[in-house]
Amino acid sequence: MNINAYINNTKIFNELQKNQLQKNTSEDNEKNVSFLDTLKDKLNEVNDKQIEADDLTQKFIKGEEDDVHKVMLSTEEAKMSLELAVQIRNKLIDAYEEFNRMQI
Amino acid sequence: MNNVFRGMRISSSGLTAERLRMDTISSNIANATTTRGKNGQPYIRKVAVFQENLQEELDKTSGTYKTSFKGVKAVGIEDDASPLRRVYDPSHPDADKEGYVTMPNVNILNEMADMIASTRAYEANVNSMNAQKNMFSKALEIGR
Amino acid sequence: MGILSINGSSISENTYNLLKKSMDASTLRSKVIANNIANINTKGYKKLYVTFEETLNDSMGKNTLKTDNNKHMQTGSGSSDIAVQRDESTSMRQDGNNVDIDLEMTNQAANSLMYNALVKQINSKISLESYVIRGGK
Repeated sequence: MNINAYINNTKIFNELQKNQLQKNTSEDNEKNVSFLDTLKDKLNEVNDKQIEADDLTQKFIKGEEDDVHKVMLSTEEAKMSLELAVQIRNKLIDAYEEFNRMQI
Repeated sequence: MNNVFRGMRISSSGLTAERLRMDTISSNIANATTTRGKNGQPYIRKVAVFQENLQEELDKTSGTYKTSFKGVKAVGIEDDASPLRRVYDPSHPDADKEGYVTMPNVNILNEMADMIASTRAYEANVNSMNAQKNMFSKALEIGR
Repeated sequence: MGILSINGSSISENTYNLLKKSMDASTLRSKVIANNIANINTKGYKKLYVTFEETLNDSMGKNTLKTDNNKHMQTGSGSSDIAVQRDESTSMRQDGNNVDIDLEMTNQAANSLMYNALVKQINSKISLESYVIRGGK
């Protein structure tokens, strides 16, 4: 049994942790600025998913789409993305209301 | 109509073809000893001829014509060219001078074997269509 | 123009209308196929079929007028796109009847599956709308 081998290997973990911390601190500085952009991007993606689902459905009815599972999956993905977006919105509103309730 | 169900239509073309073959087999069996057929000749064994059904189809995505397979097509019912049997039976009204009667070139045992093969092919096509129907139905259950 | 115009997207509304019309065509097709099957032994009967999807591509492309208000007239969405036509081709049968029982049964099965798929899609759309209206609660 070579216990010392483990001790030598933990140096790798230390290196990794240091790199992670450096990355996180640099992200934190940018985080407040890009939250709105991230939100807008993700909402656009949700909208794109809806459009894609509608487009595939239309193609399916017209007879241009051969795979019915693609249509079903795209509809499901669109539905789940929208549900997730709605839940996130609810959470944001709750956080805002909680924030308002705080007494100075 | 939809390309989604093309597989089912291909199976259905197989069913139609097998049904036609069964018709010719039944006709052959029923007329196995008919000495007075068309033009005064004995009945001649009929064979259903099939051909792969390839059709030029306008491909909607690329705008060009390409051949697509659509199953099987019955081209026609043709006569079997094998020689007629001569049976010695002087008491038959249609016997010629030497007492031989020309009988149809139908072999009952061959027809029975063909009939079994045709029935199995029909069942196989039905199974194939059911499999496709099940696949489609299962796809509709995604997410529920 | 339907409750789905609330979200303001004309794509979603087009799909919804298309789904409704497609279900109309599917129901009609089911009746026409049943009629064909009932007339399988009628002398001289020529089978009927429903055209809908073929006319769709024409009407959704160049002939639709641009509308930006719900009260504008929508072209290409009238129910004149669904038509019943007769297939005058000949068959191997001697009584002049060109109904193929296997093809009709297959079409009936395919049509039912198509109808199920359309119902699922419309349910999905409607439940999504009501989810958003409820606010996810």
